[in-house]
Amino acid sequence: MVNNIVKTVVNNETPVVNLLESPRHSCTFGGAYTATNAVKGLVPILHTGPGCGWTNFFGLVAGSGGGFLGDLGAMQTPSSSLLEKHIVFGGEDKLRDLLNSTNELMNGELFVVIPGCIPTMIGDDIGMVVNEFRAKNNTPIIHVKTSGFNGNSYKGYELFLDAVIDQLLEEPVKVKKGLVNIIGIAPCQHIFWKGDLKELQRTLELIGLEVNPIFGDLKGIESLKKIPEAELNIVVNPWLGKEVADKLETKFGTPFIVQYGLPVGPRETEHFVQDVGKKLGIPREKIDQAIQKEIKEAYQFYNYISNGLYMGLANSYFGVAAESNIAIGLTRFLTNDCGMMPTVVIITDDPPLKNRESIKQRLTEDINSINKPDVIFEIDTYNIEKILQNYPNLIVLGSSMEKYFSADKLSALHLTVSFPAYDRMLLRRTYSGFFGGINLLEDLMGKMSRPF
Amino acid sequence: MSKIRNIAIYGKGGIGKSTTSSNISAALSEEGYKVMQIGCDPKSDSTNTLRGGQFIPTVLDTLRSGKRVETDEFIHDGFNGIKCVEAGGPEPGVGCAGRGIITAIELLKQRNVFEDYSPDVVIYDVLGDVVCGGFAMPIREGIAEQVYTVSSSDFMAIYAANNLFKGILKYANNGGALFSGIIANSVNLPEQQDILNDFSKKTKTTITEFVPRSLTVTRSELRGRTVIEAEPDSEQAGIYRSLARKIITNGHKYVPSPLDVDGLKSWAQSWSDRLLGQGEAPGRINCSLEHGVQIAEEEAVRAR
Repeated sequence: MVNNIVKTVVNNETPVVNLLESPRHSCTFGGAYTATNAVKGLVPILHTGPGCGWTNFFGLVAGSGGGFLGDLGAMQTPSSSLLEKHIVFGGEDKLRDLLNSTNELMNGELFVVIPGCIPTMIGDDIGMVVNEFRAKNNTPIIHVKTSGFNGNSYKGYELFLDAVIDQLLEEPVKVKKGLVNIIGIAPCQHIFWKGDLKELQRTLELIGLEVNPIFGDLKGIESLKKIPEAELNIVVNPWLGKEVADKLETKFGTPFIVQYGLPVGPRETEHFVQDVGKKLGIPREKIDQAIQKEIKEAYQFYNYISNGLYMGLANSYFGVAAESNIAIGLTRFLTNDCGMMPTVVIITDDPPLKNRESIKQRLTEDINSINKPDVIFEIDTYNIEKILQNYPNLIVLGSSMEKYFSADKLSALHLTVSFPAYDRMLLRRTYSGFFGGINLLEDLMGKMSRPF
Repeated sequence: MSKIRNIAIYGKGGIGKSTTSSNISAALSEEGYKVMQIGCDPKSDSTNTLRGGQFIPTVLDTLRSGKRVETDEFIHDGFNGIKCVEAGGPEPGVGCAGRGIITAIELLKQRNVFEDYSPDVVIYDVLGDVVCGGFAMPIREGIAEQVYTVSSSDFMAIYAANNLFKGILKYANNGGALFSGIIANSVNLPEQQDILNDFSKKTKTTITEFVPRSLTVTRSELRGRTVIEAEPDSEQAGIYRSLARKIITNGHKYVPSPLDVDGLKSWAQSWSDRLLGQGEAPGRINCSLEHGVQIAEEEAVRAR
């Protein structure tokens, strides 16, 4: 790929980022919109200009392995589609009309008002309009505070859950023993969200837990209402969703644990399950017994692939450009379980500064390799390519934006594992859990062309 | 059709823009010019004194109603045939007034108002400070060619004028309007004249006229009239006529040199030091103001 964008370079080193090339995220609005669509029965109601919904829906859904999302995504989504006169005189009346007409035309378990940036610029009081509607109608309604240049789509995911906690969930609640929520996997931004949530649910059910993945199942609003009943919140992400878990702990007293990166393969998954079990007071032996069969089976599959792995990809240098969650999971698996050598891990989800050190630690400590990877936080595609060029990688695990670059410039094997994924259809595919590593190796080895 | 003279008048809120604009319009109409005055302020009261204190439907009302509204529903005849237009805007605290100004002016252009009414002079009376792109609209894209600012010797008025200069400077290379002069308003004392003269020197601008504060203005406005209409033989009317004549004959336009924040601050400080050095500030203005309020109240009662 030829890159025509010229960037200002200071001291021949750091380009001044006054533009961002092909960012790997959208805005809070997009994050909240896809999160809403990922819960069945929820009706997203957009209060913004006509283009926001369209671009965000297709940008995020198509970039996350295709398919469709929700019963009311894209063309079906009610939107105020603000025009000039609403900008001049305010858009509150338009939102009022939209809420009323949506109420007449659509059946939904929960209305979710998602404002874009325009209403903030003109000072629309969205909370007031939503409260008015709530007082007059039986349909439950919340509004997500996405408006006003609030951040990226990861933040949008958190803001959606914030709105649910603040405006929908009620105290007091009775805690249900053995019920856990999974937090930290943002629909669409995490391209394997559908498969990963299913697999993590299945894995934790092995030890007798009831798992609420919140997104992607068929329970609809019940998934949201069940959130405070959980005995434990499991944040499967080194940073995303931690603040949500904090909030749930403050409001409902639910403790939480953080899994620093997706558990990929039998070794990490066993640790993960044991950590959860320990927190819930489930005896270690009981867990060992419950997962024994899975581990055995997983290693059986490694036997099938082991010759190919050690002959074809033994001690391969590999580089990663992915979200922190996926990057940690895949790097640790390929290094610790497959004997490959990580050169560089580029973190592309822009985690907050306070979380970066822990992410770095998970990628460089307790890693069974003679070399530790350089960990670089970068969200600009041009810079990501420049960084990758500095390492002699045989394998590049990145987004589909690195696909042609990896082949043309690096002669490396490329597999799409992060957002955006324009070259894969991802429905139930997962790299997490006991068999996740097998799936990864299957996809990776499938990329090799053999002379026989 | 001869070329229309498009003139924008800016200044801090409450400084006397509408009073000055309306009196200039009235004076020019007496001279035989076809004048159109466009109020660019959501308060929609720029042209009130040209219409006996009456409010008129605004351009943006057409947008609000959603109905097709003919141009003559928002263009109304005022004193001496002056065409009065109010851009209008949202209620206080809602929507975006800046975008409203842009929309209103574009709507006037779309409706061919300037071609159909072919005024000789269009005066844009623009709200307050240049707070955002919307209020800079009349100085952008060649809508007004010449800009005047109304300013007193008060620091905040000068600050607003300096901001206007920054706006002009920004758009000057892109076909925007240029500056033509400061209209010094409510200036009765020599010290006040000195301050404004010095400010104009520092910013490489000119002062078109010194307009003193006068009860004639208060009296006229309380009757919903311009000075030109209400007290045509007064000294103040003469001053407005002189100002109007200067504006219509003044073709000089240029890019001002605004002071930067620190420059403006230190300039103001130097004047503060100088005035303090002269001892007690003259009290005449305050006295006359108190007296003025009393007379104004009496006038108001009489008008009712």
